[in-house]
Amino acid sequence: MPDIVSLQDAKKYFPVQKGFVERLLAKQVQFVRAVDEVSFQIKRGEVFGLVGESGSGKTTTGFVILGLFRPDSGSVVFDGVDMTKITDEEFRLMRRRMQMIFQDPSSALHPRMKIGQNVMEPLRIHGIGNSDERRGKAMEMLERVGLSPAETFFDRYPHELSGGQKQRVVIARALILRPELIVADEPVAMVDVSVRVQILDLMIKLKREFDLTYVFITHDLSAASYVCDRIAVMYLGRVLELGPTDELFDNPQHPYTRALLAAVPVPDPVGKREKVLPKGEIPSPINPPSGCRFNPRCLYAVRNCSEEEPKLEQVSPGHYVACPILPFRAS
Amino acid sequence: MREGNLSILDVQSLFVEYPTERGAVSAVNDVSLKLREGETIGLVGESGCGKSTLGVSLLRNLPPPGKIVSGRIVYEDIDITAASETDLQKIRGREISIVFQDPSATLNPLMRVRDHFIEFFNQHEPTLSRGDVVSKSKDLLVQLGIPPERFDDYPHQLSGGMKQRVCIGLAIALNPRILIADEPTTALDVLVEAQILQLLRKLKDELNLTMMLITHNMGVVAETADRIAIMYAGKVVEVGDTVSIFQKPLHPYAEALLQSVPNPKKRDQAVKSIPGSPPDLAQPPSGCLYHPRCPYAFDKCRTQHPPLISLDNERKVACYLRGE
Repeated sequence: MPDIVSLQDAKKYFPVQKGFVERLLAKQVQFVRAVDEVSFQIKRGEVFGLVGESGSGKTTTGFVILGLFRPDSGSVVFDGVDMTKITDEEFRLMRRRMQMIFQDPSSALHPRMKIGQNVMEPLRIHGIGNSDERRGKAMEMLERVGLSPAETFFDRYPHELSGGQKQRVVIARALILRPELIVADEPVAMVDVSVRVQILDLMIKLKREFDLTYVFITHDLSAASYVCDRIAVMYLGRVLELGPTDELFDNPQHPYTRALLAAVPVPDPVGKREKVLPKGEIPSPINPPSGCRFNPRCLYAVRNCSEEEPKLEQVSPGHYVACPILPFRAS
Repeated sequence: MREGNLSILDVQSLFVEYPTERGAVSAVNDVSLKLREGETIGLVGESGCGKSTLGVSLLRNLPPPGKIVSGRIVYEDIDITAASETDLQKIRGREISIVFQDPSATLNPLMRVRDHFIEFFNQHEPTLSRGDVVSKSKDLLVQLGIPPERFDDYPHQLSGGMKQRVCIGLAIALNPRILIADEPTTALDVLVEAQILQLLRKLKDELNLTMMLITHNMGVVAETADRIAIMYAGKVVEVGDTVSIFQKPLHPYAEALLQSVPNPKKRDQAVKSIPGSPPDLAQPPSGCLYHPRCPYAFDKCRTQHPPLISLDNERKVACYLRGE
């Protein structure tokens, strides 16, 4: 399968707003290094997971993929086109081919627009069809996301729907332009537990029906293990490990990945025991630690770890790790 | 002490309502539950099932306009639902304490960590000298894994996990016997969540606490609770010890809930979603509140409320499939 998205050394820094006095004193501008030289390829038709804690840069990476943030350096190639080198008009046409699903359906939907209007809005913005055609398309899409019969939902307002139903509307709106790529940012984090798997199953079904590629951004490793084909583990703006889901879960190599997997609460009370966890919390991305960004918390760090920043290296087919020690490499 | 059968808190057919424009909503609907001394009981359910309302009711800290309509909450011969404010003040913090989901909303953003402790001790232990308060608070911080130099920080200078540690410190400062932890890790990242759960388990042992852990996360209860009470739409539908509930859930909702959680350690295990969504409590369905989503529902379920019945092995379940 050809790549649909390719990131090469993509970098996105945000300047830190300074106070008046600091500006007078002309202190050096500091940057949040949200995405720092990230490279990966997403294959057409796969579910690619971006996993990490808050502050790891996973959402910013999603925005960079969609072209909503232009990277400061590096390239973002979508279907052979370098998104950093196109005009606004070309970009607008490109936008139809990629859409986003947000975390909180209540704030993603316009509260004063009816469900039907919300779903038709992208068609209106892109000037597709007349009002009858748009209505027909929206009706069809509501049925496809399981809001059936569509007529009973079309003229209702978002507040009349449950959280799960609202997220279905958000998905319908994302699909109405028939995109090729969907970036889903924590799509089930705000949905009731009993409804989460419903939404994930729906997303998997729609992926097949519409030939979609997903970028699935989440902090929830259980959800990631359920839907993703490949997963990239991010920490402080860097990808520390990348590989097929099964390989990553069965044979994690980076100490951070192992810590994350150990920390996931497992719904199985038999054989529970205390976990060995890294100390402290994810530091500020303004002044990330030198060398490997995880080294101050790593239980296996050696002196060299704070000096040289490790690059991703292939340890088995398709499995990349940025750790020179590889304490868990099966020998 | 998980064998201890001595009940320390006894909730008896509690009803809690929130009046709304569309009529009263029964957030807690005829709940009876005993907390045993020294145990961790997990109160599990999805948003809107009444688990948090039940939690704050135990301290009679309901946000208005919520009110306890009937029932009793008995702690040491005191009925909390009928106690005077003075009596309640002696219970809150000193006997029963609570930790909430969002530490940023619990801490006062304009007060330093130290001021939170000083205010807390002034309120509850006015005879303590300021020096004692400071040294006691610092000891607490160390016990909670917070470096003492963070004592003069404002909440915004602390990370989420650190803030939650401060909240836990305030909750255990007076050595309460019962700690209610209402989704204490939901706002936190997975590694920090694991750290805080570890801390809670450690404190529970060190301080001999009885803990009520309110959560929607089946993984968190599996790792922390001795017993589980599962709530749905304001009612407790199943109670039992954690291992037996996970091995053989009896209520169809408990069964469905357990099957709906992907287990990253057992990825080949089938995951099934629950059809439909939780009911609108302003217009609850007739009969068993779960019947519209239940694959086993029969006629009786649509017209009558199944009572919570006791089975052997200290299991309780509210389902006509299991008796009556």
